[in-house]
Amino acid sequence: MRKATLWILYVCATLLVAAWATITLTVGGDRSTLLIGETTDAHHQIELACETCHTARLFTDSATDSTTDSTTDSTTATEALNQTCRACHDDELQAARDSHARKLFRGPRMAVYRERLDVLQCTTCHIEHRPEVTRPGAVTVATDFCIACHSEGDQDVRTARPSHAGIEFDTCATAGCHNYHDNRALYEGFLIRHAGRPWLAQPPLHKLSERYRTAQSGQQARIAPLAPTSALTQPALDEWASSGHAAASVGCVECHAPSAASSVVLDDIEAHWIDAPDTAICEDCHEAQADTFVLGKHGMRRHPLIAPRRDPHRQLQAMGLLERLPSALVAWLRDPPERTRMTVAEARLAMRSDAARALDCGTCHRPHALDVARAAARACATCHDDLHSRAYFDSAHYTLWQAELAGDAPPGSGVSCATCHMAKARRRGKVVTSHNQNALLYPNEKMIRPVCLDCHGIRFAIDALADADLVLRNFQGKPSVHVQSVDWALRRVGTVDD
Amino acid sequence: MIEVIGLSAMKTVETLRPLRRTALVATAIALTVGVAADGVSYRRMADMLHLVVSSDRAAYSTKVVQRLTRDDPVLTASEYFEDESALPLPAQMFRFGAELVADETEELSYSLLSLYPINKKNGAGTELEEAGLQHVADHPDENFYGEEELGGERYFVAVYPDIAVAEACVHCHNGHKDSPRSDAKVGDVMGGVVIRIAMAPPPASDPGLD
Amino acid sequence: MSTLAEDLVLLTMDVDGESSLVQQGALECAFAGAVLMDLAFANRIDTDLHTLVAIDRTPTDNPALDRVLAEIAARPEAADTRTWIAELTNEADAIREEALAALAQRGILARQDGLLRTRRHALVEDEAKRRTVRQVADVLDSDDIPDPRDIALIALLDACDLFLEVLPEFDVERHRPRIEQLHRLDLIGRDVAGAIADVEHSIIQAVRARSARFRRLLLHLSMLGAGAALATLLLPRIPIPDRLGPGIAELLWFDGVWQQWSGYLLLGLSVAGLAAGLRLKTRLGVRKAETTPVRRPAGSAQRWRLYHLGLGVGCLALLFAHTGFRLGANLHAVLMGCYVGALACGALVGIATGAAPQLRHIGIGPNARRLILRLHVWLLLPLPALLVVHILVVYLY
Repeated sequence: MRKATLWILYVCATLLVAAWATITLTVGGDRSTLLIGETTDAHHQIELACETCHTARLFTDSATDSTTDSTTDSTTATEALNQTCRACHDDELQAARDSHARKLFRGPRMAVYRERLDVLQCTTCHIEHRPEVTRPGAVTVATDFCIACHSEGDQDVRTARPSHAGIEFDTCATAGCHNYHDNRALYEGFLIRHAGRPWLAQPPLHKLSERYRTAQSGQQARIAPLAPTSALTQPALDEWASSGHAAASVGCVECHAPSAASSVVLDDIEAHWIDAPDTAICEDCHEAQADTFVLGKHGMRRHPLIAPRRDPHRQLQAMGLLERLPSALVAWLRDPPERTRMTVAEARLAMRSDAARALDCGTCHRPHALDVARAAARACATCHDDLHSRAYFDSAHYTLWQAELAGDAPPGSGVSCATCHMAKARRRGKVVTSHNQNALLYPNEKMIRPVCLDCHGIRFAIDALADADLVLRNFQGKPSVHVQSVDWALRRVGTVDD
Repeated sequence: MIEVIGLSAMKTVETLRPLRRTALVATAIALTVGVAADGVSYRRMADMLHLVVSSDRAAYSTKVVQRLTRDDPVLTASEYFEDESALPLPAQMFRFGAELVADETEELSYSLLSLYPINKKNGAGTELEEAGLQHVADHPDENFYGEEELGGERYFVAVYPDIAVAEACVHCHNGHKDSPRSDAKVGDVMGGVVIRIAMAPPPASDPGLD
Repeated sequence: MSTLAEDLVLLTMDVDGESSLVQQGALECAFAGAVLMDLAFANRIDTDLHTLVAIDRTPTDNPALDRVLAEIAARPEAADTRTWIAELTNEADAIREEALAALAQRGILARQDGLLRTRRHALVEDEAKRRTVRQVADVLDSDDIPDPRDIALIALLDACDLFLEVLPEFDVERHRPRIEQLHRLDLIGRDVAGAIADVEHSIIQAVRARSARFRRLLLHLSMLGAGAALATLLLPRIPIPDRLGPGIAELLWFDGVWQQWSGYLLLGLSVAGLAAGLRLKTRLGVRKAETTPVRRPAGSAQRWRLYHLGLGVGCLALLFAHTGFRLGANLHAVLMGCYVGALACGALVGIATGAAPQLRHIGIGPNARRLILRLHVWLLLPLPALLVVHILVVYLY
């Protein structure tokens, strides 16, 4: 009898676990224990917002027909997954002038290549939750993948290019010569055009930084602060007085009492006063920065395409269960609270142990000082503690940056963390800083055009970026590897290469 | 099935009528494509599509590239137009259009191919393309039609001769470092426009549209 | 008066009349020995150091005994007991058939024609079997001096290692002193004493040879299983070659279709292993104090033990095909841990059974075996729930 009871209990427990799994997967609840494999560095922050990528309906056929027209209704699970990749990454690929853009492979002529490697689907080369085959850049296809299309007939690079004879295919995309998507700084014409430049320009100046820093210098407060006395502190006032905000006539109320921004009546301002404004107030004015902030790892949790928490009420209502289940159970079925900010503790890079903070605008820009110079380098080091970050403060780049800050060198001559990792761009006639720190990180040749070439020659830049040790040392010294792409390009057009 | 007709529907872009006519034809073809399944033959459909794409290319060549680079030289045209603030070459414009079409549908595709391509990917990729390009090279006055199966789908394929009409074309092709041919002359067949139309599977009792 | 062979048939048959409860090899030895022992009791044969000879050719009224007696008498050259055991082992089927016929004639069994022209004997008089079982049990439980025939039967069962099979409720090890005592009892006044002892000795030798083979097989299979389980837990995952192309490793461990095949095959094999385990459990007669014959599944415990172990090893092989030593993450890792843990414990139980004498020697007794067996079962319990989680995640995301 006792045994029978135990068996009944066991069967009930098993059914309960199965029910929990089903409900957690389909309705709501914490899914962290159900993840099937470690998420890549690229997406680990949003790994519990599963619906961001997994949008297919239940039990959709996963055996995808790669040629499925995206416009048809019969969207398969893989196609649905790939649509989400494209939704987030298409702009970036387009900006990179994607060398293997999807549209190039969609015609029937390309069927033979698609059979070798289904390049229409992002997931052919980038599959999530498979740590053991995940290589740098979240690439999960074999390193010699170029062999699929460039090893036969007219496309055989080993016969088409004598310089490539005998080269193994696993070096195409790893030696600093080619990338699959972004070859803007690596294509032959570009290499030839820039081949003659010296390793270091004289004077070495980053043009957009020069414009930006020149505009920043000599800013002075144009207005007097207006705030309730109880909220005013001298340090805050001092910081604000020398900030860009003061120079741009942005006073206390614009951030602390936006709904009374047009008022000059203190009582009115006090009534609407917010001690610690949300970052949304920053985004109101700094749209370009906010737009790019959500594209990088610092802010991607706020990206508009990240799936929100599931609503168990809606799901249960659709299933006709909402009224039948106790409200406590429905409440328990809620997804964990949304984490809209990345925290230092969750980072996968080496971070300082004392940097326990969540990231938003104020993390790098002190709210009142808004010191962009500090935010460009010193602020990074308050969290980042990897070799490359630490080595920066012993590098020539940092020496130049210090000289620029001290006024001993012209604007744009210094190299901060932001110079390389937060490239500046022209936007509506102004120079704005991209707040997507990851845009140029991998593959690092993406940095050549917008950053390196302003001061360095292309040969030096390619070699330096291909030298992993030199990158770790934050470019202290000269490259110890030499990438031959420029030499080969020149040789092919018959230019004597010295 | 390979068919060859005696007279090319379109010989060269020089024979094209004014642009307004082209726009009208394009509209007509857009309507025709829609009713293709109701009786327009694949060959006729391909001929009309060729008329559109060739006309567009001719218009771009004369009204944009030639005007801005030669007649009223304010720009250059370059293969690296994005980095050199230049105009795309007419062949590139042709390809961009083809890519946009490919991104929209798999029922129709077109490309500019050659037996002597500067870019290897624009060489003959199938036996039928090879035969077609060879045919139009040998018979500049003829088009080439055939059917082939690619990726499990059956396609109607039409190849139209693409003839060097200007010295600029010949000069660039002959001088390009990747060009396998350096002796082309104006009037030579440089390659062919290949148009591919997906064929609907014929009903069991239907002998076929064409 | 029944013969020892008839007693053996009764003791080893289930209600369907199949003598399939015990390991076939040992049973054949037992039937051969039973005939020789009965002939010795009937004073028809005797043994000396080197030969077994017929000393009286008078028929015994039992066709089986008479046939064997005639064979012994007709043999021109002398042969020792071991040789006769070996030869008569080949006739075990005939001896068994004759015993079945005799029992049927006495109304204890009913002959039935089964499917495909097979012949079966159903037990019609349960009491006969019960009586025989009780007889053996009584002898073991009491301190009296039993009938020499009972001693011979017990010696036969012990020599053939059949106690566990025919009297599962008996803790053989607990009764070991009594069995040893019975061995030492002087069969006073019986001329057959020497012959019986010789037959028993020869049987022990023959059975030990077979038993050692079984134990070796069991041990090797278990060690293979334990090694495979350990490898699954400890060895690094098999890396996927960094070469483009449908390599077998990539197909096995990353292709959805292959993963489904290996996964469901693994599930099927696991269920088969579980079924074999349940058979084994039933066969070993876990029910306590059972003296009446119960319906038991066919096949010997040894055979089911080997099936169970073999399926376990097969599961580990298929698990490798499914995972390539990848342990997974989160609840999937828990599933993997429980599964491999259960298989490892199963293999350890096999080792404990196969190497029981050696382990006893170094102080590891049946308690340790029981503990691992319990762990084996406990680790199996969460598997259905975890499997549901695993399959749901794979299909829903």
